[in-house]
Amino acid sequence: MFDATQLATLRTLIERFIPTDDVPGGIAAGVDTYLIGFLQADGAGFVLRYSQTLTALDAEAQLRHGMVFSALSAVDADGLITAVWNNQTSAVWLCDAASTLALIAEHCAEGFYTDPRHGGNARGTSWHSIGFEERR
Amino acid sequence: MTYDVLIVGAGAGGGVAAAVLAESGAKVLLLERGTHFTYADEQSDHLRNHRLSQYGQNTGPDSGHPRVLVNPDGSEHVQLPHHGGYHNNAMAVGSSTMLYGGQAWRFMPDDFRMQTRYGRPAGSSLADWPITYADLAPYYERIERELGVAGDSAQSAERWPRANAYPMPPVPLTLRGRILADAAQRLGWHAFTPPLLINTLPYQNRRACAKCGLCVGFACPVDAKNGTHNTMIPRAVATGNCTLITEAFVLRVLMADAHTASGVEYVTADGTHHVAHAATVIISASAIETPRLLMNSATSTSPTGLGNHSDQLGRHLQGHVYPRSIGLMKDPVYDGDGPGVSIGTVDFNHANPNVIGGGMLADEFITLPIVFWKRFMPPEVPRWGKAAKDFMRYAYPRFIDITGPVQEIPTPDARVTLDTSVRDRYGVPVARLSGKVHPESVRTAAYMHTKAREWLEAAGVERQWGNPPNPGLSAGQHQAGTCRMGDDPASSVTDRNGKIHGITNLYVADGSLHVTNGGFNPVLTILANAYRIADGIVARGR
Repeated sequence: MFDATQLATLRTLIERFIPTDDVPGGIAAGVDTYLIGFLQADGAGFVLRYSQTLTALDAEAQLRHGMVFSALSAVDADGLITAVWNNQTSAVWLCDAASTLALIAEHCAEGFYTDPRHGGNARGTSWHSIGFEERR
Repeated sequence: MTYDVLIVGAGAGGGVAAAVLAESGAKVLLLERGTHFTYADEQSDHLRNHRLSQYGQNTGPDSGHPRVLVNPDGSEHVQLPHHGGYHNNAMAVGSSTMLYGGQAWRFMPDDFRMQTRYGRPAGSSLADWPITYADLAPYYERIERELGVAGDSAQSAERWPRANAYPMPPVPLTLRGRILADAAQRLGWHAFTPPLLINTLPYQNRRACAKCGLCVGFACPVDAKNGTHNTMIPRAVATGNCTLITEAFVLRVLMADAHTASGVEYVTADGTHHVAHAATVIISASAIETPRLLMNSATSTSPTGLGNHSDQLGRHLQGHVYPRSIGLMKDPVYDGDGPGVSIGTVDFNHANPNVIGGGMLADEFITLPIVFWKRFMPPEVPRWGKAAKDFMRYAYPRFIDITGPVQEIPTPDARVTLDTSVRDRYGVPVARLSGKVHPESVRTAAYMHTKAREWLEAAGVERQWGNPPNPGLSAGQHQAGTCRMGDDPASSVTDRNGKIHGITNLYVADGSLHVTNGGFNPVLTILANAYRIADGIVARGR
């Protein structure tokens, strides 16, 4: 689905979208696993847009910082995401940059805040952090 | 085989009708397109349920049953069942009664005479029901007792003339409920616990609510939620007089002549076509599928559909517009106790200044975290990064939201027709939904939004957000109105008995009959009206 560079970009993006603080972030909760599963099933129609976005994010990082997105510091990655989210792009984007980032952020939230068996909310990480409990 | 009564759809209306008729001794055939969905089949999938059907649902229908939505700008889109524009109801024995939150409100006396009270706004089809609250009151009582409603009898009796108490006490106030009760008192409002079709005590050999919190959109883990699936339909089958066939999709109503239905043609899961005959046929397929079936049953004498003698079939489609305001308290207010809804007010259902009707306002069933993220986050909060994560942690335990169904002013242009180009898996033309809510509904919703804000303000929220709604078409799980009852065949599809004008033995018993839909969740009225209609069929000797 994605090459190694794209996968590293995706994992970095997930961690910036749901960063680790005193609560585990997106990667520790398994959002990367969730997204791969999602893109092989209900989200299959989004794969091309993801692929284009991951490639374009790397190109943005190269233009702005001379390195791939996954090598950026958290501050630089967040700055780049903020710029792209506001449609301030320099690289070639084959899809709408801002709306696609918003879409991926929503998919990440779906993984992180939904029921744990989907793989993106390991051990109920997000639910514990907000106080939600499923008493079933 | 020929039955006395054939019922299409084992949901709210059909389930009640089946029990009443089977217990009268009638031989009943109950056809349901869905299956016996149970908690054992429940996946508790927060992304695929009837509260948030992002990628699918826990019941059907599947993608072989699309609909077409026409937007107010004229654009058309094929809708799959999990798309918002599909306006789906659950496909299962019991239908949405096994997945709902179960708010069990009676309509108010004035809800049955809206035109008399408010006039008819231009462009609307606001009208009175052909029956009154008093006609339905005995049946409300029966449903409350026979399905099981937990409610505040004293508070209810102050607003609705009623002969007997609810069979169970109301759910206890949550922490949010206690805060809102105090706030209502400070405002001089009357607030009390909404009646729910949920056991607060063991009732009819089933358990009391376990407070799990996943009511709306999900099956109940302890079978404490009362629908037709665990009350009326088992009762019907237990008589030995009712045959329930699931996964049976009805293709058309068959007519012996222009004035007499003879049965239906249906197809089962293996693709086999069947014909069943009955002396009386009742359609209870909900307010979108019922008119669709009647249109797809057109004959040479009813060329645009059975009951469409006055071009009323499928019109007046309505549901409920929901204003909502969400506020943040300084301290956590979430105690996690389900069902979650525990206080409401009906002070603003009528007698509001310069608007027509009004609606009930209440706190909300427990909100899934992903639903909060998608629908309740204020617009200025970033959807990514530490700010988003921090907001979820801060806001989820502290938010209170107030919402409620606003009584809609029906319009004939909001309607169900048949799509000429899109067909379902059986080759039957699908429902085409078009139109939008009447401007007066939007205006009333805006007014109710101010009352929601006022309540939260009095509760002491630090901030609140949420805009008044301005939707296109409204229908959803509260869909109603498309086969309206009336004494005049020129302006209605059925008579006051639910019988289609001009056909001696073809009835409707579901929300389609509602002339207006009240400012309340409509299910208790659907259930009670179906009881009344079935009782009438029995009384007239079928």
